Amino acid sequence: MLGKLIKYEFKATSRMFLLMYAALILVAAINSVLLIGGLNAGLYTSGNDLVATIYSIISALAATVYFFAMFAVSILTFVVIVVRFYRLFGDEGYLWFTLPATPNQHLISKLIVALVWSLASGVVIMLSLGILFIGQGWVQELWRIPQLIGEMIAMGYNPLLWLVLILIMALVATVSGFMMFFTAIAIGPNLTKSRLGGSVLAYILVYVITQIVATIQMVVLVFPISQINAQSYRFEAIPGSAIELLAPSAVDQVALWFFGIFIVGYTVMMVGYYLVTRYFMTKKLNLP
Amino acid sequence: MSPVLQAQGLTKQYGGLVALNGMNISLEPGRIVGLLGPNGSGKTTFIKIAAGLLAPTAGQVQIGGMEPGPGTKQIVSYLPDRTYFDGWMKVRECVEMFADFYTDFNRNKAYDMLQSLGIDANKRFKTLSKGTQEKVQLAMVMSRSAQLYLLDEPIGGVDPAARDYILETIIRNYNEQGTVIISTHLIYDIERVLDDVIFLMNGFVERFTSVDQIREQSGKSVDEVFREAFRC
Repeated sequence: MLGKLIKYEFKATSRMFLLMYAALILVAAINSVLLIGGLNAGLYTSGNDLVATIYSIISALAATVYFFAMFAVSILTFVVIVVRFYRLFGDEGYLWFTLPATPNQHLISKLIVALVWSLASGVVIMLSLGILFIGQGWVQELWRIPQLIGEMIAMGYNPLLWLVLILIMALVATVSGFMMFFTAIAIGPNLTKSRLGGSVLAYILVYVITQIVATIQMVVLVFPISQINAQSYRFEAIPGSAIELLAPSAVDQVALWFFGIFIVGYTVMMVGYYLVTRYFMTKKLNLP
Repeated sequence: MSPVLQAQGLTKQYGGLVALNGMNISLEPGRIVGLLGPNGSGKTTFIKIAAGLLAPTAGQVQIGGMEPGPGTKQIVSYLPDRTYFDGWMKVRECVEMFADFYTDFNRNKAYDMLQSLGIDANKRFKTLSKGTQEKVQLAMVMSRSAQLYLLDEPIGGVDPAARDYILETIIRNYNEQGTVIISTHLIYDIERVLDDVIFLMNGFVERFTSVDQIREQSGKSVDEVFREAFRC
């Protein structure tokens, strides 16, 4: 059942996303050609002022379009997913909520699809940047990143741990970000006659409660860190250099604490949102 | 025979408004039941609770011995008074979706029904007229071999000429071991297909009886009896 729900969720959303991605890649490609062409033909520095001016204006326009397209993809990714969930509480709810699926299956399918599209949008934006700058020399420098990571590992640091922590944090932050909107949408119809107005009101409510809980979390979670003896953080000289760096074990500890706080914080929020949403989807469901 | 649907003290309140007020009813399999009542009598509320779209305030309803949930949704075929397909879907995709989700769905039956209703399966749902959209949904719902069909105003949105055809579609296609509940206030149009009638008044079951009994006892049609019972 979960697989089928995911399949139809993708079917319903893919048209919009694929169109959006194609447009962004196309705009990036146009910019890339303009950039390479302009540099190769020396147009920006040519003696012909008129040609150079016109070319500059076209390039600037194209760059602006690209900038907005990139911005639009990030915003629309969020909007499409949230609007889709919103429609679940309108006429389309009569179809979805009478399928033989559990509320958990509904919510998890929505979240999985939301995560996949968020990731896809991120990848497509990176790809478009790659296309945009493909002709530029400094892009080659990016290949040095794995080498740098290797050097850090050789020095005893643990960059892979940091990467894993960042990825987990991004995951729980994204899910909890979507869930916050889902919660507001599920509560919304119970607050006012207008479903949209109710959802906005519910969002403000959820936002205020989130801020209060987040503040309490910060106090509760940050306090133990202040108890760690600063003496334990040793600085070590890098062999063959005058620079002193924080010892690898201390860096790992700081990373674990820093990302750990956010991961625990977002996870608590995520579970809270989930339970509230599920309650309103079952016991308080009120389709117009 | 064990009842298909059984409601005990079923109550739904919206704030101060009482939509259903301690409704008791037990429906046997194989019947076509008219759920009749004036506007605001609780017809849609009852159907939504039975379809699992609304939680009752008090009391309970069981369908096939289960409280509304994923289990009952497998055996209940529900037609709301809404159009619920994503407008971008082709009619063919609506059929495939139902075939995917409901094991009791008969694809061939659906295509046959669409064809006899003159509906092109390659058209997108949003390009169809409101009446045609309702026909597509009816075809989906009646292509299932369900234990209980819940039809909320199935003929409300179509022209009088099409009503007979739709009623015929309903009685020709339902699973004969199943029970059909048809909610409507167009009693005159549907009474010839009904076995039983429920008169709903302010959330109460005012009367639950067979159509034959009404005719024998009063010598009048259900429509006439209804007009007398609910005269303003």
